[in-house]
Amino acid sequence: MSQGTLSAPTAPAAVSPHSTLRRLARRNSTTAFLLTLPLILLVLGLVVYPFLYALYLATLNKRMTKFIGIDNFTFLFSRQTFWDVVLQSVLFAVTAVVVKALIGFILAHVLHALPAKGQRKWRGMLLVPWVIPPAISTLAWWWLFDPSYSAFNWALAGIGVDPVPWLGQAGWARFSVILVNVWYGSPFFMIMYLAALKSVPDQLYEAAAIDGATGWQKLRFVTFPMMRNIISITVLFSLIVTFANFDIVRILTNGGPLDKTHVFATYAFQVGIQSGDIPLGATVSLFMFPLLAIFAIFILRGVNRRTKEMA
Amino acid sequence: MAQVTLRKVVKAYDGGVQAVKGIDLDIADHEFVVLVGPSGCGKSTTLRMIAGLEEISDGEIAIGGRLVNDVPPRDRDIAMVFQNYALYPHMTVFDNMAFGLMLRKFPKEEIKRRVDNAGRILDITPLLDRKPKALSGGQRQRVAMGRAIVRDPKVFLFDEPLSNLDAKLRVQMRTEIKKVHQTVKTTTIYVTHDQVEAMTLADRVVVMNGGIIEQVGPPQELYHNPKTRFVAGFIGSPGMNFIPGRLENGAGALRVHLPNDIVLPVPADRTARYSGLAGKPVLLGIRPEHLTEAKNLDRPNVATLTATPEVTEPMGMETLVHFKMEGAEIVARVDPTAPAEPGRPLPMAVDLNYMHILDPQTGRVL
Repeated sequence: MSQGTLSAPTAPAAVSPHSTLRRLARRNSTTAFLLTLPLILLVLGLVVYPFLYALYLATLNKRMTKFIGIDNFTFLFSRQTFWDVVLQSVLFAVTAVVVKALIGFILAHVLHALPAKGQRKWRGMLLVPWVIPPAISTLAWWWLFDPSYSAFNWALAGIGVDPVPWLGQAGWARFSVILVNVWYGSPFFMIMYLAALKSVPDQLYEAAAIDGATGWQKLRFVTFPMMRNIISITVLFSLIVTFANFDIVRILTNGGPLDKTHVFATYAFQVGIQSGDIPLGATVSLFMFPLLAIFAIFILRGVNRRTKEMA
Repeated sequence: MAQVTLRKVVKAYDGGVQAVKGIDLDIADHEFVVLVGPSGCGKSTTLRMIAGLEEISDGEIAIGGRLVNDVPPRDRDIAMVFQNYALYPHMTVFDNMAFGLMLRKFPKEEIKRRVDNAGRILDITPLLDRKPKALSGGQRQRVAMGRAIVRDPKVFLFDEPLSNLDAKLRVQMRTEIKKVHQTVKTTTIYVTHDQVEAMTLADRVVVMNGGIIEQVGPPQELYHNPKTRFVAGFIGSPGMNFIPGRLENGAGALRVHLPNDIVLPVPADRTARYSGLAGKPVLLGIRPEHLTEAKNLDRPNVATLTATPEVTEPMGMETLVHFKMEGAEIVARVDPTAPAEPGRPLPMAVDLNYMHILDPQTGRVL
């Protein structure tokens, strides 16, 4: 027989600060935090700080010498131009994003149907609008829209149509800025959708073909549901970028005619920088946040739900 | 329900590579036919041509007497179970099964009745509200089968449906598939590379190799009377042993001379069949279960030889003994109590009642 002894568990030895540090460094969460730290710092410096500073500025008077509470907000609410800007920003962003999403979806399908060899060539060409700096390409569009000497009006004259005041009339000017934004942004949708299309397993289409689906039914019941997350995320991303668009409107119309093409960014610039009322400009810019937050919450909630169900 | 007929069916790809080289096959109504063969033998391509997922380069395919060469998959009245199940991840189990019926505009009550019925047959009724993500591999496989059953098609096509399951579940699902076929009796064409699946499921097995059909027949016929070396080696696990040798006439009887001066007498009832081959090199084909430890030596046509095992594999109910004979790898099945050890000579019995003689040039069983 062997004899055994029982003893109470001993207290753990005192942990040296060195080993605690080493253990902390070895943790996955620490590595993850360190890797994301540069981005966190960027967001803090370029998003959080300006946002908080804009909040502070919005409470000051024009000379930035006195706290005036919500007077800047009430002033904006009383101005028709501000409500025009709200309407124009929503109209600009929603119309442009919907059209970009549609064109991107169609282009992605056409490209996906091409043989791999030809696909690369077309993909490259169709991405060109997206890779040209928008300030430069918008200048080219500005020339195209020129009322007297532009290619568009020259072409229209050739078929006997009267010249169009592309940038001179509110309706046409709104159409023109949306058109340029669509031209610039559609390739992004196309490339995202193409990637999504390529990730749909071929066997699902084969199963649908055997189940009796036509081409349209495959698109409706297989492709579209399988792409919904990518579509949602792309739409959200594009909505944010389009909503905050500055360069296209600034170069093409500078908000005119009669402020009828202003969006939040160009209006905030005009009020804050050009007219010298920085607190009011900051107040205008703050309105983008709640509108985008509402879109983002709805879209991301749907994405989360679908990811949990399908992934 | 329908018969399926393939006439000189060819599948050629760009560059002239032929995956299927003109096969003929008749599958009867209610029959369960398994296409089996190694990777690249053309079995899946053949199934996909029957499904309409691959174009036919030449020949004719008919389902239920109707030529379907140019008929799209949706109009062939077939259902298919894929290797990766191909369940729609955004639909519930019910919707996955109902999708084909919904597209064909079946009334809602009829769809529900059929899905519930298939759910009962496959024991997946409690899963109908779940999405495929929330199912195990075996459950997904059942749903994929359910999707096929609800359609009540003329032909079921299975493309390696059990390959993604673990060994235990594979055996269980194999039985389920057989039960389902016994219940619904739909003509079934099943593709697998696993000869055990082929043997256990099929009414008839089609062994394919290099784009051609090597042999078609019931499992037992293929096992006991293979026509080619490929079929003899492919069917059975482990496959048949092939030992190079020579047939010689001597002392009034025909004998097979093997390496290491082993001489085995050809059974009297086969002498007439092989007498013309005397003096020629042949391959002796013998299955591992007919090469055992020395036992039943008093039975007619059981000869003895001594082999020195290189490797032994205890399987529980038997032990596989590997040894070499003139470069040929030989496997024998011996009783687990037999004194089989690597390097130790082991007296063995060869049951020549089950021997096969093959032509080493053509690989034909003579």
